[in-house]
Amino acid sequence: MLKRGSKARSALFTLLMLLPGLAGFFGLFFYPMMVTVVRSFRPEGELVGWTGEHYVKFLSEPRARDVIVLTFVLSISATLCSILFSVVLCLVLRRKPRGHRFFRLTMLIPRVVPGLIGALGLLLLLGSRGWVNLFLIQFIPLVEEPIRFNYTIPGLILFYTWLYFPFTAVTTLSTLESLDPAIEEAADVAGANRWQVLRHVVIPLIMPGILAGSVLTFMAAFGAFSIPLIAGGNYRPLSVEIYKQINFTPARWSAASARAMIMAALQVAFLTFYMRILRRPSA
Amino acid sequence: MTLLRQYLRAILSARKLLITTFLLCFGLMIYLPFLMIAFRSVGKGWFGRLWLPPELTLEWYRWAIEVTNIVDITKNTLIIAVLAVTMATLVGIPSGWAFGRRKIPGKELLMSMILLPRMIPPIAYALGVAQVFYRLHLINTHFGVALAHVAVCAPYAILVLSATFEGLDERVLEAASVCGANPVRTFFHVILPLILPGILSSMIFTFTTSYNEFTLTLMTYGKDTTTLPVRTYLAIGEGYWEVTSAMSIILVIPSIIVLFMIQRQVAPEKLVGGFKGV
Amino acid sequence: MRNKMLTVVGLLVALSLALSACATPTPEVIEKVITKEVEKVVTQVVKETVKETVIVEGTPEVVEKEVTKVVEKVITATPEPVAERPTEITIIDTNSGANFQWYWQQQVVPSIEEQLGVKVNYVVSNEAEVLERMKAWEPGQGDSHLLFVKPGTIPKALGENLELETLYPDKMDVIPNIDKCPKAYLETVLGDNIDGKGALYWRSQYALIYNSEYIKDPPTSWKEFYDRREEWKGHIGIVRPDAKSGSSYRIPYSFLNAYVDMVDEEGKAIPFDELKETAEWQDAWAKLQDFYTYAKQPLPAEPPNMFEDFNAGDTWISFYAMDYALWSRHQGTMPPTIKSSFLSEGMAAGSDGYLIVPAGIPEEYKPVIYDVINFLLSDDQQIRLITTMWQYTGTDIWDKVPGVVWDTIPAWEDMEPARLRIGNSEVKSYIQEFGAEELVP
Repeated sequence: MLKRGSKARSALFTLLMLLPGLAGFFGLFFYPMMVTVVRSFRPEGELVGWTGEHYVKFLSEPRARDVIVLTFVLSISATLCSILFSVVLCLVLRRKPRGHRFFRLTMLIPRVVPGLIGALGLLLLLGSRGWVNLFLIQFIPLVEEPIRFNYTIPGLILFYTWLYFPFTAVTTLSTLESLDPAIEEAADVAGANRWQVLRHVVIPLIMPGILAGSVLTFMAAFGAFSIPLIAGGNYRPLSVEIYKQINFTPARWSAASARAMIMAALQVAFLTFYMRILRRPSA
Repeated sequence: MTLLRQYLRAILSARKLLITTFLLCFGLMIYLPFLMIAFRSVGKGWFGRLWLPPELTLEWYRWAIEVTNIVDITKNTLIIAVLAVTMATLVGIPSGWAFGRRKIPGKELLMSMILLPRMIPPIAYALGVAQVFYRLHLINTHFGVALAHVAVCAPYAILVLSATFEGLDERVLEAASVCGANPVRTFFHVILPLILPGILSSMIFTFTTSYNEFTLTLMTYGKDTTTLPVRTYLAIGEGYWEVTSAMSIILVIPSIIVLFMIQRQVAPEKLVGGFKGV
Repeated sequence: MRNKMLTVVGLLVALSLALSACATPTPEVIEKVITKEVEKVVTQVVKETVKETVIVEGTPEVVEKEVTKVVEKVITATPEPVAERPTEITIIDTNSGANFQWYWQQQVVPSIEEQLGVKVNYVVSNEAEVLERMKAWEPGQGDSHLLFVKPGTIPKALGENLELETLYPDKMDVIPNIDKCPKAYLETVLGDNIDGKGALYWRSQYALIYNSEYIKDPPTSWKEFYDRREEWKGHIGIVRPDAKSGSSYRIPYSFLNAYVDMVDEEGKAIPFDELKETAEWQDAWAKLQDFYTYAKQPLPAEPPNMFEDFNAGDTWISFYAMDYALWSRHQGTMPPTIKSSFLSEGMAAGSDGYLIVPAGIPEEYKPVIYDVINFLLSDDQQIRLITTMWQYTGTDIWDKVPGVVWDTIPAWEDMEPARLRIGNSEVKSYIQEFGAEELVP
């Protein structure tokens, strides 16, 4: 039985232990976010005064709508492609084919290397004299000219998928493996063929895992920065827009902050919406 | 059955072949970009539509070392990474201990909060970090950049360490004290060996995170604290992608080595941040 | 319990918002007045033995000869004890591409260390970053001592109220070689006045770059280029108008110049509002828009993307800095069949290289920096620029340049009439701001 004073001391001690983490969080994330919020309402170059002009100016530009639509299109498409690919990959890997350990590791490669390098490699590989195009031209009779992958929307979606599918794949795989084989056996015994087992038993059961991972993929794709910076070409999603504002001379911090806030708000909004869907019990 | 269905059936019955092709394409898609960069970094005269460069040379690596000062830059990257790892671990151990071994009201909420910097893309708060750092004159200092990295490294550390501390079984500690060990001995001979793997894995993940970090570094770096990712980005904009490729290979090798080294020790899923209760 | 937590979190949010709203005002600028008494100015005639690099005619061999030169050194004697002359300086380069980074690192920096005994910390950066950091300097504590910049950086820096030392004619006593620079370049840049705040280190020139493997008879004028555009449809390399590189506006500006005059007879810019209304401008602009549709799509975002296209054989002809193309070919990073030639109506001057000295650096560094600038403008260093890198010199010393150079690049006298300095900065800004909407197909 702990005495009251001891309990208070213990609570104080816990708080003390939490302090570095909380301090780090507030100092390195929360306070800077607040600074950005405040800065977004200041007139450009000033440190006093309030104005909503940056938001108004940005949102009233026709380009702004294109940028936001582009960002969503890229992230949603990348998420969908990741889900599709991850499900197939995980179903294959779960049967532990030969070399499956190697492929599990391969699944992680896009996450351990800096995004820049992956983007550079893909730019070279998919370029007009990259191996993919050389292969297509030489071996596929229908292809005469190199196919343009780089700097196009489908190409960018491919880049995003390459970089961010591991989030979905990892959670899907772990959910899949934690599935009780008895359930599938039961369905099998009940007379369902492979496809029916898959469609009606397995997929619904791993849906939470898939969705959890896809949330991460979506968020990463939405905020992707280094990739569109070097491989975006004419297409500049929101994150690059933010950076462009700082690259003017003089740097437009307030305009950049406004865009960053819009981006954060959109992300939170979409996430909340997505999480709501997650919470709904699967049919 | 319709013809289409028959065809599909036939294809799908060649299951093994399909799987092998699929896995092969998957592997190629992941590894070929790096192979391409590698060839570009040693190729000379690779113009027009050729599969491989006609000549091989090491001069791009020599260029990277002599002209772009890759050695100094690597030093910077490592110093910053070490600083970031130290700070993140120092933050992570007490917080992990608190999360793992104590009842905290609203633990789930706090955990999600702590993980926010990893979930929200860095560009959104890197702006604020840059502005704060300008005022505090932390720009272009190793400490400053490392501090910025702690924002993305600490959540990892806290996560891994809280799991580690959570797994520390009370009964082992009790057994140790029953056997007559005083707190100090218990710590060094019982607790430490048990948590060391956790600390090590958190250090490794924090190290790779800091080493590869680009966005936050881009906002807080200066001439003395250029890191490899930032220098590679600048090199992409300058031309001579042969030299950029050489730099990329130098940048990428530690990450791949670390990955293959630790794949036996630790569940690789942790690397991706597969945390429960997203 | 949950409510308590939320209240606490809410309070903390409010607190942070309040804190960040009361931002600390920018630090006051404290003016430090430093008086230096300069007592005696002595000119000494000194004989120096200097290693000179000479290209042996007919061969690519470079031979070092020792030449005794007579140099006038200006020694300023001060009575008061001055701080120790610094022996280590930082040069920030925001102008050089990959080719010149090699040159600075491998040739210039060792020369400075060898001949002046000054250790150089050479750093590559970009303009936005450098200017932002300069603004954050404490007065007199600047750590970037010598900046090597593109022309546009000087008016930008002055516009941001960043002070630069006036080098011409104020510092001519310590930088005598600056007198050899063409005065027009020291006075204005891209149509803006710079009042002698920059020393011209090199002059860059744009030229027609083409791959002789695909093109046997290149056009000799912009008008011909435009008229024959169908021959090269989809293979013309034009960088996006909103690229960071100067080629973004140099290409369209040179094109427009062939069809419409943007400066009057005295060389002053015609106001853009007037220019827009004229029939020639509208015709020229329409032709320009049409020309962009014949470029290789998508337009490369920056020159490196365009060079990748050249290397792939997708782009056959473009308009870019001649020194970069020739040196890249020499290095093997561009195909060996690359050649350069002229367009008669006029080709934009490239990113001329200017050396500037921020006023905010510690005073004791300034004499060293002036010596370094003088060294960089010396005949020997300037000649190396043109013989090693095929870059036109900043000083007018054409008679001293070895004749063999003119086999590869056009003589200055032949080139200069076609050299087009950007005289109308309004047009340039218009291209950069609205080019993306109006010109990109």
